[in-house]
Parts: sequence; structure tokens; C-alpha cells
Amino acid sequence: MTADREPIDPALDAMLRENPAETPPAHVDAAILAAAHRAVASAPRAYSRRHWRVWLPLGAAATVAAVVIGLHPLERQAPQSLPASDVPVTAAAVQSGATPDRSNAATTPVNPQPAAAANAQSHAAMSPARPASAPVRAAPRRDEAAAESAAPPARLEAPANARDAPGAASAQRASEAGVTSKQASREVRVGDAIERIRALRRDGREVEAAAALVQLRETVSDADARLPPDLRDWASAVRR
Amino acid sequence: MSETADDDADETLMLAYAAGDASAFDRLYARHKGALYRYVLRHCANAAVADELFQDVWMNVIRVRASYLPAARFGSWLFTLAHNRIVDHWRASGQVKMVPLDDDDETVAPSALVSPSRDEPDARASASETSARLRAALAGLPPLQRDAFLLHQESGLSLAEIGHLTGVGVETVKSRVRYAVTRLRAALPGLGEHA
Repeated sequence: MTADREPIDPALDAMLRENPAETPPAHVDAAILAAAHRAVASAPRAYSRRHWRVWLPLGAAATVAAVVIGLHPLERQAPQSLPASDVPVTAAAVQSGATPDRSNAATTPVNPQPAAAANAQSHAAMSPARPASAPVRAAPRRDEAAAESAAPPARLEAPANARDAPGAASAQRASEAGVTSKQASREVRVGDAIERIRALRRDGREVEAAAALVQLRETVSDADARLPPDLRDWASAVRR
Repeated sequence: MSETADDDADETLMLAYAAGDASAFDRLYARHKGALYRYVLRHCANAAVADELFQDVWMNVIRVRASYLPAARFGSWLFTLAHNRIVDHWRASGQVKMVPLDDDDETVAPSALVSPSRDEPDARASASETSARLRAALAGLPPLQRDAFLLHQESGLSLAEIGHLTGVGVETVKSRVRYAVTRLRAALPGLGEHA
């Protein structure tokens, strides 16, 4: 025991220690324990909530990255020259043995399915067709175009002579818009959280309001600075 | 599901309870109920009021479990909740006029704060005369001195932690505790027989 915790008066300390029956009554014990058990039995597990807090931002970041990566190929799809092997061929071209002609690419049917059958027959030895759900690549090869039936038509058109400048610009605008809309949606979420806190306090649900503030602080580094004046004083007293 | 051992720290148990482990709360409660109850009871000198305040403190623990962060010791946090609840009780009952922190000021009549338990049925039925004498003596202390003394006696907190909890410096806490002991010794004749 440190000096800080030594009994100041041993006699008084002994009297206090020997005092019997200063324990809570059984009915108080029972009420408290029952309430404690009810509280966790009815609440969603904090385990999942905590993991939700961890994984949601990661998931959002992964989604944004996937969108950016997915849009990026559209910028580079300026079809200055596509290798002949990348130009989808028609069934007729396969049967006739004709060399794929870039000039025909513009008229190549968008629907890859007829070509799929031909490609599957003539290129069976090549790398296996990928499932329809495979991620789309920038320059789908003949053997893959068959499998990527779910790919957007614009990707398979790949017109040889058409410059995809408008497409690249629109892709870039879409990317920028995505970032801007992401920021806007984030601001909306912060605003919603603040309103929720205000509503909880209005209803006298102080504890839930404090928990919501703590959660907002974990999401936004300057949460307290974003609060309206009527909540700042209260927020300063909320444990971080 | 219980993954905590009996010797787990209080903070670990509280976090486990916040995560949904009710048995962690059971262990936590068993560890601290005695000291906390004595602290509250010796402030109130009325068992019925003490039961209510005691229950309020634990209900508060249950309510804010989700926002609990082990920034300080659990005991310090628990007794902070109890201290605040008692202060709220004093304010609500109108028994205390808030005075400056230099509490040696005797303007607050101790007898007005907590009525001695002499007329309480609990006191008459009390199993121990010593207990009744002690509670009466504690009731005669100024509230801040009594609070400092009881926190030192029951909470297991250091003087610095008590100072932080009550918003005063360590020297003030020491002074309050010493003054309380002096007055208790004066109010409890024959105290030396218990040494």
C-alpha cells in the first residue's frame, strides 16, 4: 500500500472496516443485475458495430478505387490503333479465314455473342474464356470478348477510327463528379448526424446523444467544430 | 460468451460488458458494489435514499456502456458517477447551498445536510450500535469533508485521483480528510478501543 493509501487513522479505519451489513439489499442487487443483462440482451452486439466502423470506411475506399480504376480505361480507349488480334471478328470472317481488318471494326456488331461462338470454336486452344462476371479490361482480346457478354457495349465497339475523346472527357468528368458527389454526400451525413444528436437531446435521450457525438467524432476529425452553437457547450462536456 | 478471466482488469470487464458480455458486468458489480454502497450510504445516512442513489449510479453505468472509454481507471470513473449523483441529490433536495471550494467555511450547517438517522427505522433496527454512531458522526461532517473522507476510505483512489474527481488539488483533499478524521475522533469517544 502506498503512503497515499495508508489509513490516516488506524482506529477509525478499523471501526469502519468492522461495520457489518453495509451491503446493498438483495432486491437492489437483483434489480441492477437484471437491468444490466436486459440491456445487452436487447442491444445489437457492439462487436458488430465496432467492426462496422472499421470495415465501412475501408469498403467505401475500395468501392471508390474500383470505380476510378474501372473508369480509367475509358480514358485510354482512344482507339488510335488496335492490334488486329484485339478486333472482334465475325463468324463470316472466321469461316472465310479473312484477316481481321481494322476498317471493319467500326461495323463490327456490338453483340459479341455471334463472335463468341466462332471464337470458341476457332480459339479453343487459347486461354480459356472467362466467366461473364469477370472484371472488364481495357482492351478485351478476342478470346475474352466472348466471355464478357456482360461488358458494356461501348467497350466492345472500340471503333478503330473513332476518337474517343468525348468519352475520355466524360469519363474524367464522371470521376470528378463522383469525388464531388462523395464529398457532398459526406457533408449530408454529417448534417444528418448533427440533427440526430439535436433530436435525441430534445427528447431527453442524453446518453444516446452523447454516444452519437462520440461516433461522429470518430468519423469526422473536426466534429465539434461543425456543431451548431447550441450544441457546442454540451459537446464540450461529453467525454471523448 | 465470456472470454474474460476472474483476474481481468476492471477496464477489460467494462469493455467486455459494452461488447455484450453480461457476465463481465456481474463480476464488475460484485467487485465494486460493497465499497460503492458504503460510500453512498454513509453520505445519505438513510438506507432507502442510499438504495435509490446506488441503483441510479449503476443504471448510469449500464446506460453509457457504449461510450465508455478506459481513459482513466474504472474505479475513478465509477466513483465520479457516484459523486456526481450525490451532488445532484443534494441540489435537488435543497439541502445544500453551493459554497466556494474552500470548504472550511462553516456557513453550511452540517446538521441541515443529512439528517441523522436516529429516527430512521433502519437505525433502530440496525444490527450495530457502532454503525449508528458512525453514521451519525459522518452526518455531522461538512459535506465536502465527508465526501473526501469517504472517497479516501472506500474508493481505493489516490489523493490525486480524488482531487481530480472533486475538482480540487491534492493538498486540499489531504486537508479535508485530516479535518474529517479529527472531527470523527471527537464525535466517537472510545475510538481507541477499536485500534
